[in-house]
Amino acid sequence: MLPAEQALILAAILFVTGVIGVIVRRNLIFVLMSVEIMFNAAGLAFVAGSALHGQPDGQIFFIFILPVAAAEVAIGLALAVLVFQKYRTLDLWTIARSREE
Amino acid sequence: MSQLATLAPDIIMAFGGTLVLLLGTRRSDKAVNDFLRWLSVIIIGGAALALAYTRPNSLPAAEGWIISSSINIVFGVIFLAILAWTVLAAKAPEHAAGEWHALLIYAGNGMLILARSGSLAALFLGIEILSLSLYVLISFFCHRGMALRGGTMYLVLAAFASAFLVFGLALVYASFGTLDLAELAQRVSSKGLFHAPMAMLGFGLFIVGVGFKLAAVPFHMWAADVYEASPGPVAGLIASASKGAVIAAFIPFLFLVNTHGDILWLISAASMIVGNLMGLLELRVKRILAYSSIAHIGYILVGYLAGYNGVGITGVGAMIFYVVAYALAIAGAFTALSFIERDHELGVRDLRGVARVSPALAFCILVFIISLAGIPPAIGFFGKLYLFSAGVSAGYIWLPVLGLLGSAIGVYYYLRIIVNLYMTPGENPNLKISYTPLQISIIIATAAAIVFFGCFPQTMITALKLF
Amino acid sequence: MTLLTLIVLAPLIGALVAGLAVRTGPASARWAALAATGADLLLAFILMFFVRESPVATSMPWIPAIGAAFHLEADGLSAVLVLLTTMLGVVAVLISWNEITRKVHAYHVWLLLLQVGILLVFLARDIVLFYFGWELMLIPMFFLIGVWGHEDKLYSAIKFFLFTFTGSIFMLVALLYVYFQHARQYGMYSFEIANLLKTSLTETEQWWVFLGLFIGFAVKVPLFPLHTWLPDAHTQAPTAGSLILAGLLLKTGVYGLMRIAMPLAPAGATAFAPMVITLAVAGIFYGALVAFSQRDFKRLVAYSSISHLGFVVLGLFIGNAAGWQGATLQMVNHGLATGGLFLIAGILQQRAHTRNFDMYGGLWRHAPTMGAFLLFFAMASLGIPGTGNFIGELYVIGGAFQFKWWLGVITAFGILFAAAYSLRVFIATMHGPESPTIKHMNDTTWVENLAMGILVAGLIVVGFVPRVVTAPLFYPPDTMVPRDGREPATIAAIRPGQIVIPSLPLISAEPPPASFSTPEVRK
Repeated sequence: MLPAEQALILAAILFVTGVIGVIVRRNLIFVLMSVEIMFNAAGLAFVAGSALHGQPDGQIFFIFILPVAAAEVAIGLALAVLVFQKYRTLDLWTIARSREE
Repeated sequence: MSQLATLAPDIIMAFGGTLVLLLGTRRSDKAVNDFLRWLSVIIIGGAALALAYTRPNSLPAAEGWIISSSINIVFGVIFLAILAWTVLAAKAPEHAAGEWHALLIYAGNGMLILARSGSLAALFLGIEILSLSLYVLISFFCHRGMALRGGTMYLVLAAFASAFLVFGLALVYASFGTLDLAELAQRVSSKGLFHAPMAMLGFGLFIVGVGFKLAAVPFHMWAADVYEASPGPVAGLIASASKGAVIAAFIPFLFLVNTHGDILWLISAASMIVGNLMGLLELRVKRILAYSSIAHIGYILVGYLAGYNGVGITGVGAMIFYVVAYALAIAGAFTALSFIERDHELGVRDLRGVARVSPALAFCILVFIISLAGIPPAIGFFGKLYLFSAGVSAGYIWLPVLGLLGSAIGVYYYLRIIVNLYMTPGENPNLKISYTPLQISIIIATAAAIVFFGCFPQTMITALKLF
Repeated sequence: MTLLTLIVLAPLIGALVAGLAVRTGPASARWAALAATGADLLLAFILMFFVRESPVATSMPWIPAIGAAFHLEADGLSAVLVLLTTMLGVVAVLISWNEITRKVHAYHVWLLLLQVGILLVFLARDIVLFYFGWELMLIPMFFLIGVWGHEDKLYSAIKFFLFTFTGSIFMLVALLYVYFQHARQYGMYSFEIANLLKTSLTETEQWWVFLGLFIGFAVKVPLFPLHTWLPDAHTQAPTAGSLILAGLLLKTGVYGLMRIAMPLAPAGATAFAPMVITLAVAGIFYGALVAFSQRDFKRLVAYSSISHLGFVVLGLFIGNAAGWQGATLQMVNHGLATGGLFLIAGILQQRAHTRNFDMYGGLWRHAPTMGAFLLFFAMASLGIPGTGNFIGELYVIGGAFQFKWWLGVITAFGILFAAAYSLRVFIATMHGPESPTIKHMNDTTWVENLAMGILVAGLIVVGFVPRVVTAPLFYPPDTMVPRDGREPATIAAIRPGQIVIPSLPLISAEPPPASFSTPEVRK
């Protein structure tokens, strides 16, 4: 059995990866992907915690994280479609710099 | 069965919201619009009634995820009231009234869960439901101005912060092994946090996430752009109820003041100073209000640091009072400003001439601004007095002093709004102000309430203690 | 008793009536305001009679949650100032009758709300209520200057607001500190002044508390060097605005010092007295000198206010009976005399559309009534016998002599400087070559004459019967003497032996000694 601490370390690595992804990436889709990674890292951490304490609560929390993250991404993708229609680009830095028309 | 009674408000809101959503797909014209608006108000009212009749300290529902002690019920009623206010005062889009009202109700649902959360899971759920609804509401009028940009920015940053928040909660869970807030508080106070670095880190990340939601310094950069991009009433809702809901959910974590108190102190002080200073540079009204909002969060955090200490009004009591006082003023201000039609972002120059075209509206805006600035006879004066008194009696001398100095600095940009509203001749001959009779009566009633409770604050305090 | 509540409510009701009657013509607003202020004046006179026997008080619980009560109380000092307030209120409405022609309703609403704030300040005996009234004065004055003011109104209005608001923050911090100390010592949360007076503060604490309170009040007085908002605000305000500003708002600062700062922190007052006296004397001369050099009529009078208020603060902080009485007298006199000067300034500006002395001259021939009034007010301003200013200055200088002989000498020279600018005002306007601008100026109308006549009458009454002002200082006997805790709170009580005549606390039971007091003080 994998010790739960190692799962936590993996979760931390995933989380940091996600953070770096959000900060570095310019494309909206990739940013959403990185956020998803962060959420899943948290979920993994919850499962690990659940294993540490022998309780099912963490796993239940993970089941809650999944649809929430999915809904978030769904809305994010819908906005991405609209953004692309309007700005013709998904580059976040360009969009952030755009003045009002 | 009693669990159902405790969950009744949430059930009403969730199903009601879906009902409104489904009904809205049939037709969209003015009659349907009005019908949906009143239906939404009835749903919210029903939820509020169900909430108000929940006996305090009745059984928690859903394995303790939703608790209903008096403070939770008070917060729940406050947020539902603000939501109903927003529903009535906002101008719903004609083509998508169903979605608009449904989203507002779902946002209210999120706020309700936050107000009555008894577990980390409920906390997360509430924040997410609220945020998801807000993402769409902000970018609702996607063809207008910067709405889409604001919505996207808010989505990216808020999702980022939520992820921080939930990862922090995961670390806390891994340390302490419980999701229940009461249990958590007990385990933290018995074991102490300093022996659990993972939990310290977890709570730190949690504070980062919460700080973002509240737009406290240094997580405040999104506030100005997003507030400006949102439709007026939605900005009012974000500034008042959504922040209030996060505060309500944050209250059970008061034990953090012992360990992370310094960080919270810094966040509060920085918000008060930076928020007020940056507002001085702004010339667009909604951005000014956004920065003032940042400063107000600083003030509220003073009350948070005071916790349950305090004079006749505790820090927590002062926070509840301030949430109400602030909500009246900021929601009113944003909504009143949205009545002024313009094709570019509202600058202070655009306020000129409003007093001549619509004196009632201008006077209401004046009352809102006075309340935000904390000047009698508006209720904001007593709100600040209570917050800072609670802070001083809990032993924080410098923080309230900083807060008062910050307000003195901030008065300048409030004056700028008033000066442009009343004391400079209008430049724009095409100034057009549009509102329905319902909207203006709500605004006037809000202004009257601000003055009334500003002269007789005890009535509000007693009412809040009723629950 | 409900008399006090009525006094505070009368302008409020007037404001409501004036505000709601927007659809009817401007005359309705003016008459409503006149009725409200007139009724208030009547009530103030009634109050003066009642106050002789015992303090008139009204107390209702207001915010029990923090211990704030709606406690209004009038002793002699408050009653005199309330009378001054209501009198100047009537004069303000009268003088605005023909001057304000646009947004008349809003104007009177703000004017009456300002009155409510001022009355609350003078009558409140509860710190929250006091602060409520204090801040309540800000927005109406801001609007009066900013909407109906003259060419530089926005700058002056904002400067006034920011200065006063920032100053009052320091005051609030000091007051909250005393509040919490009291709570810690007595276990009871109360904002009542009488209760807070019982708090025992160490000397250092009293220094800090006094400093905070002092900054808040000194901005309002204004004491050199916190005076820079005053010339602009006075010059740019409409006539009634200048009148209320000079006549009443400045007195709220002095009143705060008398009622709150000095009793709460007497050790602080003693420690800071030398510095304050220096600032006051500096203000006297600075104000007079700068006034003399002004080209602008109203600005000259504004700087003269700084000079006069220097006398008042000097009188307060020399800590003897003569000083207190002189300060109170000067408060009333300055309100009347400088008010009169502002009235004339407003009348002149309305007709000539300029305040520049170079544009005036030779008015005596064309407008003798105005000239007579201006002569009277100018002479009053420099302290001619027959006006109240003479008595007031005599008290202050006498008190200064008793305190330190050289201080008396210096103060006496201040009068010389006052004479300089007062004469300049008169001569530059009335004598000299006729200026084409005002050659065809109309003389004063009967409304303006009435307004100025009220002020003249007041000055003459105080000049010949100063007892009217000084005697109420000792009404009613035995009020508010702290039964336990702190000694009667004045400076002199802390420094025995340095004062020649026995000092007189504001709240004493004994009448003043024969010298330097009005003959036959009753009761």
